[in-house]
Amino acid sequence: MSSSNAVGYLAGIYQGFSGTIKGLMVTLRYLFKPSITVNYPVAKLKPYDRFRGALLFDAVTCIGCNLCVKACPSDCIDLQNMTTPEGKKIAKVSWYSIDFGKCNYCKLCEEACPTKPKSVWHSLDYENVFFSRHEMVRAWQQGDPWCGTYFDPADKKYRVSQEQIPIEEIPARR
Amino acid sequence: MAEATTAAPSPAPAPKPANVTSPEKAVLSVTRQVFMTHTQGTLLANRQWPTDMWRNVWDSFSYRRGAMVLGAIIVGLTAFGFLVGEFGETIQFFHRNYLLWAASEFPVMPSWPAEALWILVKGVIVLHIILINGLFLVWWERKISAHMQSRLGPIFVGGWHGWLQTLADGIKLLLKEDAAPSDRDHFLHALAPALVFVPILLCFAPVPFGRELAAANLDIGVLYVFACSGISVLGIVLAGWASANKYSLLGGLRSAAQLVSYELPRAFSIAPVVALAGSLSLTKVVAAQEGYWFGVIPKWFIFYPVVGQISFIIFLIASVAETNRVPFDIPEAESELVAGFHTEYSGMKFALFFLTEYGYVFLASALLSTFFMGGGAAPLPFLSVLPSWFWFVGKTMFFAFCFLWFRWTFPRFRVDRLMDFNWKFLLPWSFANLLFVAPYLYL
Amino acid sequence: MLTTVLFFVLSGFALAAALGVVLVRNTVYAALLLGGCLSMVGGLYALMGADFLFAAQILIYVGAIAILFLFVVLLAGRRAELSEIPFNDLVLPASAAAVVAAMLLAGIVLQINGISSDLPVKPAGNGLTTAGIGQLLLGPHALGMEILGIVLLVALVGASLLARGLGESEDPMAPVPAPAMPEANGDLAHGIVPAKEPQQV
Repeated sequence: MSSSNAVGYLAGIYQGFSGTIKGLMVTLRYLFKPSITVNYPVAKLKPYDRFRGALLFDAVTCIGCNLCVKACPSDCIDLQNMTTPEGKKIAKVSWYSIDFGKCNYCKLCEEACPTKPKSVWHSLDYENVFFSRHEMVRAWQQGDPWCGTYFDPADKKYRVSQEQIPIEEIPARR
Repeated sequence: MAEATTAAPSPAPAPKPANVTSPEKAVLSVTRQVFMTHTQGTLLANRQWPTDMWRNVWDSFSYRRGAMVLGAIIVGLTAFGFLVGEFGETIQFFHRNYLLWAASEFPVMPSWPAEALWILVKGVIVLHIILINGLFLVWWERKISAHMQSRLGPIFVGGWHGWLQTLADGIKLLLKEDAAPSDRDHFLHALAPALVFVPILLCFAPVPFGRELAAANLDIGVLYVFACSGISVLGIVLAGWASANKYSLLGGLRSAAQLVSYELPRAFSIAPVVALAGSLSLTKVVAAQEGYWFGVIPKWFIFYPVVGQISFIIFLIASVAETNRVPFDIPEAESELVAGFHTEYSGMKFALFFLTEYGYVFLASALLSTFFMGGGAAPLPFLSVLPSWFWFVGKTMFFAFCFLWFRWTFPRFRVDRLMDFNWKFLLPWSFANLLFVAPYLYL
Repeated sequence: MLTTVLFFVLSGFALAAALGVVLVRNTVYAALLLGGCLSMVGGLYALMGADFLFAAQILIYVGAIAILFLFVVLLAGRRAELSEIPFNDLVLPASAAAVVAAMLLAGIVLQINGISSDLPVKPAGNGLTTAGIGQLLLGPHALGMEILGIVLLVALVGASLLARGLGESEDPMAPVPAPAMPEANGDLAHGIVPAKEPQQV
């Protein structure tokens, strides 16, 4: 073996070992950095302001214009206007429902909403878990809370989903 | 309006028209309103980006607290070691008195039943060292891997950083169904985990855990440890074959090839150490490393120029390979072979394989500290106020940490490169190392 | 007492395992029993105080030879072929060899009984078998050990020659020539034929 080959061989060994040490140092450095994940059920991260969480609806401000229903690409919103005793529709919502099984959190309904503040909007709630398929369909009447009610087929009543733990109070953005 | 688009129930009785006729404008001014308070968890509202968090870590309170807790743990362990002191002599004292008591109590009996009972007790102690080590190392591996990946790892079980997580896992493994392929070789499938586990129990017999703290002071300790750890390969190969699974078989074949190959540089890298110590006995290897050069540098074999370092590196690499750990984990390469030889094992049989792996990690770390770091010797003369078992366990845990560190740093070797690395690099250098040790023997 | 019991237990297991190696049909079991038999013999060595021999027996025969047997068995056969009848056509030469071996063994046993019933089980030395063996190997028997080393070296060279193939005359130390650079329009190195571009009309 010529001398240049021997030198190259030793240089290769040196390179291999120094690269190995470098890699080890990287992991050692990260070992002593604080972790970026949080201890989820105990500590919760607040999402950024433009996060699109569960949809909320305010039946008081809604004018029943149907724009959100038309904007929805997955056909998950439905509403019914109130009527006068004569049967004439007025700018007030009687029933509003969102099927979260279909919703794809695209924010088109919120953009379409003409009221100020918005009548339907995304909260920061990323914890909207459902324990049954009935809970996925949220329905609103006048006077219901913003998170809506669901129809419980067991006792044929509308009730607020108790299991849902929202991440924060509703932000001012609407 | 598309009625069918929603599964909402048909509208219930319409609200009172009175509400409709006079819509109140006032409600439009909606204030911030809590519609449901969260019942558990604290909200980390002012969370920074990771890069911002890492820029000045000492600003964060939890980081300072963590450092303080770590320091407190180290100080506490040191104080514990100082308070307990050496207990090798105490055990010898117990042994002598026990034999005397047995001889006086049962004068008709020969002495060997008493000795056998004492050996049994020592065996049980060694077994528990392996079990507790498994309990600890699994948790440690999870925590260290998590923190190297900027995660938290197990955090709930046991209250403090999930320190009882392994216990929970162990209970889970005990209660699990023992699912096995119906096509398996019934006898060998059941035999293989035992065949893998028993040698590790044998291997710990001559390991000196400190001064006078070896279960058996064997004259051939080094050879004995290598011989016994070689038997485990038999179990791994059989596990691979008996599972009736092609991935298991591949894993078993790979492990046979790998472990038999890496035993050679591992044994040859120890030859200089044995030559310097002049004995195969592990206690004599430790005894040969006592003392200090110039009163500061310990006479550990790792500090012998050239030969010590080459030996150490080759032995370290070969030990990682022998314990089937990343980057030499081709027998159980999870991305290629599902889980290799233990694919078809579940429940307690799987736990035995797992326990064995961590037992071998502990054994390799113990051997590293025995051969190269002076066993129970203190790194500086004035530090020898702390007992020898404290230094031994500390060094061993440091090397166990190195094993975990390698695992979460390096990618896996390819099979052919693994073999090339062994036969064309490690083995020639371990031979060359025999040449380098020659001058020391004449000095 | 304990030694006698252990001796009979170990030799009984060794004999049973040895019989099993010959009689068991499944080759994997035969290889495993071979390992068991060899480790029992190692236990006998340990019982006689030859601890170096014990460790060497376990290290080499159980840790390497038996595993190589298993390795070959697992590589060679499918499951169906693993339970072939282990008796081949050469019954006559085999029985002749067995008779000769039995006579040799009987001769040795009878001779030992004639000489002495308690042979020294430990080699002469300073009481430590390892050191004694080392002094013997590098002292009076150095020539034999060197010759053995040369034989093993020749075997190693022969094995590598067989593995490389006799026909190749190239310098084994020469670096492997780098593969030709793949063409610009296709990855020929991986045997992928470049797709023809659709004709523009």
